[in-house]
Amino acid sequence: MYKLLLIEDYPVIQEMYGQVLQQKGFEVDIVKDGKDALAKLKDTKYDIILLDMLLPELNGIEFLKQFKDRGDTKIIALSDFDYKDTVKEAFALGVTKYWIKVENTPHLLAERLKILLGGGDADAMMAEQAPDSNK
Amino acid sequence: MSLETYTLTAQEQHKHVMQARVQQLIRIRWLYIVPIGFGSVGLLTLTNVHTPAGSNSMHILFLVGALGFNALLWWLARIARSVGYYKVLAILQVGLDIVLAAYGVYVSGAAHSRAIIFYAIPIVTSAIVFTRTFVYTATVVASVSFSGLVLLYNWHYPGAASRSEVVFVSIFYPFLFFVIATVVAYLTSFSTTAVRQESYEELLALLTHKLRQPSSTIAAALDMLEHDADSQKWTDSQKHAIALVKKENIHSLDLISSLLETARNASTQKKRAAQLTAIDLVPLLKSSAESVAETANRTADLRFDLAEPPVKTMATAEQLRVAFHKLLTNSFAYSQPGTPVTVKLQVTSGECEIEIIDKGKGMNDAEQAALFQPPLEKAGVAALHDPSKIGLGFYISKHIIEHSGGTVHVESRSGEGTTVIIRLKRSADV
Repeated sequence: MYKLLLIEDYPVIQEMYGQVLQQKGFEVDIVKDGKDALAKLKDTKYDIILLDMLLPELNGIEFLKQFKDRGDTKIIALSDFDYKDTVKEAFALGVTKYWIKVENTPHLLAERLKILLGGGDADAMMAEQAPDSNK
Repeated sequence: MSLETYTLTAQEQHKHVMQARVQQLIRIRWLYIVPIGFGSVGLLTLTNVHTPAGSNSMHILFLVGALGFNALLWWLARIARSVGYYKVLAILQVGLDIVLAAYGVYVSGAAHSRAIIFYAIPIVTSAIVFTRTFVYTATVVASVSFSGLVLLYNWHYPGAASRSEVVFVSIFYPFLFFVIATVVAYLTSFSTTAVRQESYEELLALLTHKLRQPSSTIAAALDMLEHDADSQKWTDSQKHAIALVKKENIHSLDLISSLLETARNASTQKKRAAQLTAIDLVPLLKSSAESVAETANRTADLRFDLAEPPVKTMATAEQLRVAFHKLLTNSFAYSQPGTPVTVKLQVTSGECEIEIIDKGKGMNDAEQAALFQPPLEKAGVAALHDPSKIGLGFYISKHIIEHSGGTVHVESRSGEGTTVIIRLKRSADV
């Protein structure tokens, strides 16, 4: 079972994503911002972190700057904020993927995470699933 | 940051601009190091003719000091990003460089003062953190100083330099300094414009995020509904309703993207070519038209006359879909049920020509002329009170189509219907 930390401030999104990811076999902890996440990460190791970028107290970029001891933890940015400099900086600070939340509904996200953790190409799956205007 | 707290106050803007200038200065640091190096070597070589005893060692001391000072400025600007400190140091550096150059003129005389020109560059580029007025003022002061010193030296040591050399220095130096100052001023304004544009882009990204949030929640909720165990028991009308909500949510997202892309393109003269891909127009037109017809409950009125696929053009699929959706929505909205709406696609040697034809109420000449105007110009203040008067559809569609390298125009007669004609370049990638 993979341990997952969801860093998300919007309660409705916390509830829906948390519920589905748990159903899909992830052991899920949820925090509302980067500051709480850093506190959590002092005691607990996670296989994957889902990180919203615009957060109260400590936002995604600042969290990435302060989260040093990562080990094998994969960090996925999951946000509807896709300002190009923020995306660039997030990758420079070590995120594995930067996924847009609205394009990654809970069940789809769970499948992509499993592929990613299994070493597969989660983006190839997205290309197949993307709303195809040519249909 | 959050949208609620993000503001573009003049003070904030100024701070961003100044930081960008400091970064600009760091990027052009070789304009300091190389000229000072060349200038110093040249100066040391040429000071043999009029060299008071001990001046070489003094000059070396000054040189080391200038290099060290520049290095300090660079390091401080880089780590502290403190514009205030940098301004003070920049003023000191300008002063030091002028003293150094003046001393070099005094030591070497007019005949060998050409190497001094290299010191002009750090003087002027230091001024990059100041206004353009300051840059030109620094240029004038520096060039007058040098020319004055050369003349003074020649007066003090009559015959030390030929008249032509004196004239050359007096005219050439100011001209060269002016050129350098102009380049620096250009860099300064470029960074200012770039920073302002970056701030605007960031604000648009924040708006996108805010506008997407409800759609994210809807998409997630729909996802959970569809995977619910009870979803197998849904009636056909329930499934249809869910599908409709899903479709309109996607359309809402596409609309947000295209609105913000239009705002982005409207703020810069550069078009964004990076996201264009080869799109087959046939399935895109079919799906857009069928979707709009279904929403309008007029599937029976939809007609197609499409070329054989693939018919490809370079575009962004989501944006083009929004454009077609808007134009088709207007065609259905302004025609009566029972009258046909026809979508035609023809291919010429280099173009794809799309026609959307309705037999609705049409438009008179004035309405046609106003069709593609920016919405608030067209609707005026009344639009602020009645959003239905804003009329975004044609305006956004025009922007999207032009962004794809195409054109759109309308042929219409009042009472006889409207034909929207879109021309897009055919992609070679077939």
